Amino acid sequence: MKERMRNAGGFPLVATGALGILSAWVSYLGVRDYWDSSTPNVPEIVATNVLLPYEEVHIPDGPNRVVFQTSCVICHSPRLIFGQPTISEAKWLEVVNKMVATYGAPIEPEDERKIVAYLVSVQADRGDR
Amino acid sequence: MNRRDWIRATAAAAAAGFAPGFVGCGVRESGSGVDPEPTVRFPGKVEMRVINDRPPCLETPWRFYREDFTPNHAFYVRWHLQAFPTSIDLASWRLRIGGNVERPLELSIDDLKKMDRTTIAAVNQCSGNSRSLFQPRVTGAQWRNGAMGNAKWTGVRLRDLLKRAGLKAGAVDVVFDGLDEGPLPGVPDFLKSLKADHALEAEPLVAFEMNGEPLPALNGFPARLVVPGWYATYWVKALTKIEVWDKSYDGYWMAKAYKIPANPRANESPDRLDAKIEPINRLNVRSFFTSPDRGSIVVSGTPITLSGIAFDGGSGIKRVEVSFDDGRTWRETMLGEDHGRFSFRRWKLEWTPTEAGERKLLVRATNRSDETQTADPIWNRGGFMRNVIESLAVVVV
Repeated sequence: MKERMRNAGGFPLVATGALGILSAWVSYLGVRDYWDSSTPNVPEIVATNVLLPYEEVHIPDGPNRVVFQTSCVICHSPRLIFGQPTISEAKWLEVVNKMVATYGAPIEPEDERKIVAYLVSVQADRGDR
Repeated sequence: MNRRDWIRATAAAAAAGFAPGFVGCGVRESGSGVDPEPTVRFPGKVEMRVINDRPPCLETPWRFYREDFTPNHAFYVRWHLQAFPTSIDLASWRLRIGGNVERPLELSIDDLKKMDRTTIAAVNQCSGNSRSLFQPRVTGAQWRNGAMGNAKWTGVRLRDLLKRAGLKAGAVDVVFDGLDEGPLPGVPDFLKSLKADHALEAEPLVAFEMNGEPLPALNGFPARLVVPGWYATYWVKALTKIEVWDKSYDGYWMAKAYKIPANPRANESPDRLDAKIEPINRLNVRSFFTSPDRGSIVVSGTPITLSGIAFDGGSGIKRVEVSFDDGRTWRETMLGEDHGRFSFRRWKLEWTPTEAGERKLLVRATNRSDETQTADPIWNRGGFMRNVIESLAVVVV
């Protein structure tokens, strides 16, 4: 009698315990990705699409400004040019030649000289740096 | 605060008013004769100094070097060609591996992520970092010292990819192409190559993460080459093609651009350029002050901590020293945590200034191969590999 009572009380206890462990395991399955990762779970990036800011760069007045604008700015920003150190006319000619010979810039030889004149003039206006 | 401290603090405040004139880096206001520096916020980036905007070349603000790892949002940016990728869909992006291989591969980002991955801390430094400091001046992107950064790069070993494709006998060069293209057909596409032996070493990676995050679009999303110890020109961004060659690759960006005088210091005279030149390769030793700021006012008798970074091409930093007497004597500093031989290495030194006045401090590093820095700067036609001993001016009051 005493034994039967013990059995009757024991079964629900074991069943409840087992059910508890089972439900803990099931809920762990649901959250383990978060549980196991030490870093916060962020959505994975599947694509990128950036819009670049556009900052107008002032193109100073000078001889042949239009030739400069139509020849040099197709491939890169004028900012790169105006950021260059003060260099000689011969060195500017070398730079412009390189744009034509190495990078295939569509510039007529006569316009190369005009562009160099513009660069030298703009550089003289701003002073040495 | 006792009376003595109060006098010092007052003197410091007074000296601060004069300091900008001395250090030559004063506040630049309109009408001062010097225009403020152009800075712009690009997507995913803090406000950075703009060297070029089409394509973007952006310099890291100096304060970010106080951290061992340069945050992605402040990491410098350098693209060569105007048509650089601003929109990439991973559903269609593929990394193609071909040329002199047994099995040409076409891998998606998921294929890459399924392979064994590794993480390495490594400095990425532009070949032309500090070019604007060359004398005589050299044309090109006019960087100051901010065309460098240190990051933890995660990805797949290049050699695992090459082994998966199966290198055929006679591989000489491995050529890397990114999604960037020239604005005109005549502009040579930006391709770089490594010797096959180098490509098969343990270090080079195809990385898809930077400091635990996907690569920012401006730093080469979705994958870039990482060549620890080598200049950043080889770290091809938005990588899309790897081609194995059975002969030497001789494209423009290897054969003509990024060449240095073939001598140990990459040094030459502006009046007589060296005839013997070679492709730029391993980083030389550099060290910098990151704290205090240039022109800081420091108080005599009060100890402060000087700190900075040092790095080299992969031997690892052995020693960093600071001189307070223009290089006559040197004091060894304490090195910080070692993140690996390709990483920035933090250094620190307690200093108690004594004599009031302008002080110039110098810093130099030595690596485990006993390569160090010198006080005389090198010069070369490309404005590459500057590694002169750096100085820091402070005012002691």
